Parts: sequence; C-alpha cells; structure tokens
Amino acid sequence: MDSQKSISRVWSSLSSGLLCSAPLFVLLGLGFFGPLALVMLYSVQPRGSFSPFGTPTLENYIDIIEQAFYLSFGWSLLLAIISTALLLIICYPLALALKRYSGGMADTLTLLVVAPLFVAENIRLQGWVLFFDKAGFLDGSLNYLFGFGPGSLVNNVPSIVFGMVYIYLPFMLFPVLLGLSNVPTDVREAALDLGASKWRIFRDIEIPLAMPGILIGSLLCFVISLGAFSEAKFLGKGVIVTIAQDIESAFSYGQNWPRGSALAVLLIILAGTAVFFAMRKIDLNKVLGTR
Amino acid sequence: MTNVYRNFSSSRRDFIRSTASLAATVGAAGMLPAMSARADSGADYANDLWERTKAELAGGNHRMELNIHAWEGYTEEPVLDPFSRQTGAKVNPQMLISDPAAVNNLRGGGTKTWDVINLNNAWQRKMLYPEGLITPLDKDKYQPLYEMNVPGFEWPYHWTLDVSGNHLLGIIQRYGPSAMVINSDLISADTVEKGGYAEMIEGAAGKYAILDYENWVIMHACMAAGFTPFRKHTDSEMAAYKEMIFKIFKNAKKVSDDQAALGRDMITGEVVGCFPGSVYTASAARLEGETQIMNVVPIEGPEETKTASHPNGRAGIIWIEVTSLVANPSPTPLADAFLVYCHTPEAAYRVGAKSPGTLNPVVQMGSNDCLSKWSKDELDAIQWGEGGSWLGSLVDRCIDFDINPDYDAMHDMYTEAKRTRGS
Repeated sequence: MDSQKSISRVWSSLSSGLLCSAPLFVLLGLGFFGPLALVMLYSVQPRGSFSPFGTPTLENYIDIIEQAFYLSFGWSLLLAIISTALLLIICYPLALALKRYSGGMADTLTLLVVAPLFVAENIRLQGWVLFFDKAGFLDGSLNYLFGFGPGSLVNNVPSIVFGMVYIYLPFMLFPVLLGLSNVPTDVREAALDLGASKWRIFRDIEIPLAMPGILIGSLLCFVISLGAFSEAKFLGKGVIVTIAQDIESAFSYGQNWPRGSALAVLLIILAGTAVFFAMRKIDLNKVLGTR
Repeated sequence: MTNVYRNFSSSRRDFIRSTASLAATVGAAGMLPAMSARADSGADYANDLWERTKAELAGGNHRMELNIHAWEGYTEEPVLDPFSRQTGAKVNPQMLISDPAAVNNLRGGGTKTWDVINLNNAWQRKMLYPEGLITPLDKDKYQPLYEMNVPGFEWPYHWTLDVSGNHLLGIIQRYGPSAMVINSDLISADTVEKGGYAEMIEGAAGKYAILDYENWVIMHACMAAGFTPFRKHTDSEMAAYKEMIFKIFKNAKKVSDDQAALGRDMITGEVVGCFPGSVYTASAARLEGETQIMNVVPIEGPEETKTASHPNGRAGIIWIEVTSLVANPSPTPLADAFLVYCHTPEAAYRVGAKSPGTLNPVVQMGSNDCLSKWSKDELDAIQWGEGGSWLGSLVDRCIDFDINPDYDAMHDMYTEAKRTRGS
C-alpha cells in the first residue's frame, strides 16, 4: 500500500514536472534543435542547393579541408583563448573590488561596466576605430599637442583582441562576481587568523570556492569569442579572417548555404566540445545554491 | 597650416583638364555619349503619370504596406518619406548587403515578404525572371519615361528586358563606372589611368585597400588579369585569376567593406587608393570638398574588349541598378506606384543625391527637370564634368556588369586568398 502511494506520488510529481517543462521543451525543440537540425541537413547538401533534402554528400567537408579553412578556425580558437585568459586576468580583481566595496562605489563600477551594453556592439567598435585610427582621436590629439602621433593602431591582431576583451568584459565579470560570492568573508578571516598568507588564501580558499563562477565566465566568453566577427572586421580590417567571417561570406556572397552550414557545424562541434569538458568540472546545483 | 589634402596638385589639375578636354573632343566626334540634358517630355509624362497613379491609389482597396529590399538610397527618408506622405503608405525598407544575398533571400521565400527588389543589372534578366521571382511591368506605361534618360540608356534597354525582348523587367535609375578610387595627391591619376590596375596592385603594394564587396573584387581581379569575368574561362585563365587574386590580397594594406572608412583612410593618407572602387566610393568625400579623391578607370582594357569603336578596349565595369516588382503572392499596387514615383524628377534627384554616405548619377539626369536640381558641388561629387563629359569618359571605358559563370570557383579562390594573406 505504502509502495503504491509512493509510486503515485512520484508519478504525480513527475507528470507535473513534465507538464511544467513542456513549454520549454517545445521552445527548445523549435527554436534551438530545429535550426540546428536544419544546419546539419544543409551541411551535407551539394553546392548551390537551397533545399536541405537533396542527396547527401560530404563534399563541403572535403572542400573545407582542402581550402585552408583551418587558418580561420585556428585564428578563432587562438583569439578565443587569448581573450578569455585576458578577461579572466582583468575581471578577477575587478570582481573582487566590486564584492569588497559594496555600496556607492560598487554601484558606480557596475554601472560603468553595464552602460556600454546599451549601445550596439558595432557602434562601440566603430568608436574605437575612430579613436585608434590614423588622424583619429588619439593620433590627432597627440599630433596637435606634441607634434607627433602613433599613426594607425588598428589593422592588427592586438587591436582585435582589445576589441574582444572590451566587448565581452561583462560576460566574464558577472559570473566571476557570482563565483566570488561563494567565498564567505569569515572563512578568509579564519584563514588569516590561523596565519595563512594572502597567496595561500587566494590559492586554497578563494579560487576553489569561486571556481564554478570562473569556469562559467570562461566558458561563456570562450564560446562567444569563437563566433566573434565584428572585432576582426572593424578593428582588424582584414589582417586575419575568423571562421564567423567565412561562414557569413559563404551564406551571402558565396551563395553557398551548404558550405556555410558545414563550417557552422564544425564550429558548433568545437564549442560543444569545450562546453562538454567544462561542464564536467562544474556542479551547477552548487553554483545555483540548490544543494 | 596648409591642408595638403584640400589643395589640388598640378598633376591632378592637369589630369582633370586633359580628361575633360579629351572627353569633350571625343564626344563632339560622336564617339562618346553626349550627356547634356534634353527637353522634358519624359519628365512631364513622369509627373502626369505620378498624379494619375496617386489618384488611382486613392480609390483602391489594397494593402497599404510596401516592403522594399534595395541598396542604400532607396531605403532612407529622403526618398521614402515623400512617397509615404503622398500615398499614405507605410514603407518597410531593408537595405541590401549584396546582390547574391538578396537573390538568395528571394529564393529562400522572400517573395512572400518583399514587393520591390533593387539589384544590379543582369540578375533580373538571367536569374530572377527565369526563376519566376519577379513579374514584368507594363511596357507601354514605362516606355515614354525613357525620354528622360542620358544617352546610352535609351529604349529599348536590354538589361531591363527579358531574353525575348517582350517583357519589361524593371526600371533603371542609378549607375556608375567601377574600377579604382584614388587620392590623386598621393598617386597620380594619370599614371593609374595609363598604367592600369598594375599601378595600384604592384606600384602601390602595401599602400592600397581592398573595398571588400566580394563579387566586385573578383570581377576586377579578372579585368586586372587581362580578361573579362562574364564568360566561361579556360584553365590557364583560372590559374591567372588565382595568381592575381592572391597578389591583390597579399599586397593590400587593409581590407574593409566600409567605404566611408576607406574614404577617410584615403583622405588621411593611410592608403593611397582602393581596389576596386566606383563613383559611389568617392562621392561623399568629394562633396565634403575632398576632390582629390576620385574614381579612375584605366585607359586600356583586356584584348577581348578592343573593338573598332574602342581600340583601347574597356577596363572598367559599369553597374546599372534595375528595380523590379517581386512576384509576391499578395501584391500591392503600391509597388508599381513606387517605380512610377522614382521617375519624377524630384524623386530621381533624391535617389541620386540624397542617399546618406554616397551620391550616384541617375539615368534620368538626361532630363533638364532632373539635372537642374543638382547643385554644382553635387555634380562635382559624382565627377559629372562639363555637360557630363568626365563621367561619360569613365563610363565609356566600361563593359556592362553581367553574371560570372565561374563565380563559384573564383569565390573559393577569393576566400582562400583572403584567409592566407597574413600567413
């Protein structure tokens, strides 16, 4: 009798859970997995096909191997790794400052970080181009004041990295801040009282406790950096080509949806692999405080 | 301090003077189209037709929204607001990013969305109409409007007709020569025109930019390699193209599809010029007084373009926009009305001169009513010259834009050249 009741309770909680999550499943199915399936179908269609249901072929993947697309993948991967590492280095102390200086100062800092998000990414990047370019704000001002200037500081890889760090900063900062909120102040104080050095507190207490936030921020920045497009276009001015630019070119000027889809599938696999390995290290329940 | 960019160099002055006088001489001999405006029967007809069209619209029961997919100029307030005001229509414009992308949009179901499509010539005749993506216009209604056009665009104009010549597929308006754009203070226009594309690609290696409209880079790379892009190519021509496109990217200082930024780069001296480039690339800077920025077209073209009337051949490519009615399953008469409206002298002027960031000649400048609306500065911005002679001389050195049958293979080489330029 008891076991019947317990089964019935489990079933009723399961069905109500299923019912509640059904809209989300439908939304995910149509809005996420649907386009993904479409892209995968297109990726195995012959060149020039505008239907996803033709005879499948691997020619797009073979072309990708033969036509040096590894360069674009390589640049995207490298830029994602560099910008994620830089973002971590910049955002960790910033998050620490936001956590420690609560009140007015923290609000001001948060506002400064969030405010640029209200302006479109392309416009912000164009602003930096006008700042760094030859006869731009920096070069023009220095020339006016001192008679010499650095000339153009865009059209190179460091300027692309700068743009990515600038654009994706909030995506690292707030998860790291969330991670640091897992570090209780009294634990730090106890460690200090017991004679631990600041370095040891950082290494053995702060980093392990804040790790879920650090990993989420890093993962988020890495994945969106992999698909970065505008920074290379506006600040790089063609010095390198990222894989997102190749995908855009295939879908537009190339009139080659299957090629673009195949590149997109490979990019998804790359990002998915990163997510898979990172998620193995993250206990989401712990991060969200549900356990 | 003297602004070197605002002062004409003697070489440029000489060049402009010599070009203008050459054009005037040749034009007088009947070899160049005389660009001067004519009597205005066409403009009168356009105004009357527009009044009648408005009256017909007022009595109709139809969809009051018009969806336009077009290049910049047709998608902004100076052109659209007067149309909306006079018809009560709500216009939803979407700017094109490239001809091929727009064609794909229509193929991918865009016919249900768009009412009007504005693309460069050839797409309508060779792809859109045969694929049932656009519908023909009323020939009898539009033919008298050709009275407004500058010479070279008279009725019957083959790019607006289908292959049989029976169906009118759209209206023509903006056009322009395309080859290169330079800062003539930094690189002599005379040298580039005489030396051809090599003067930029090799002579100015490391100092020029690529205006990255991908299909146009490919087309001009073909011209630079010594053959036209608009036919099937032999293996050796494909090899020559590959060598050329890799060289073009290797030697370029920067690559951008932002023509405003490149205009600025030319003014500041960051680059000496850009490949390729058209009047639209130079016109905004010229309107600001930076008249050293100019479109140039090499004097000598590929062997296959040499004819009795053009013994030096043609090295540039002229683009002509054709605006058509999309085969929308739920059409609105506003679409056809918009095409009529674009022919009124005021609207034609606005399409040419009031587009943000670029000015372009319109074929309706053959009408005094339209031409007289252009200021001297605006005419100079589009390199019009005395009686249209400067622009006429550039156009005369161009072959018509067309479809490249080897585009897919050439685009693959283009993207590979772009990816590997820094490696």
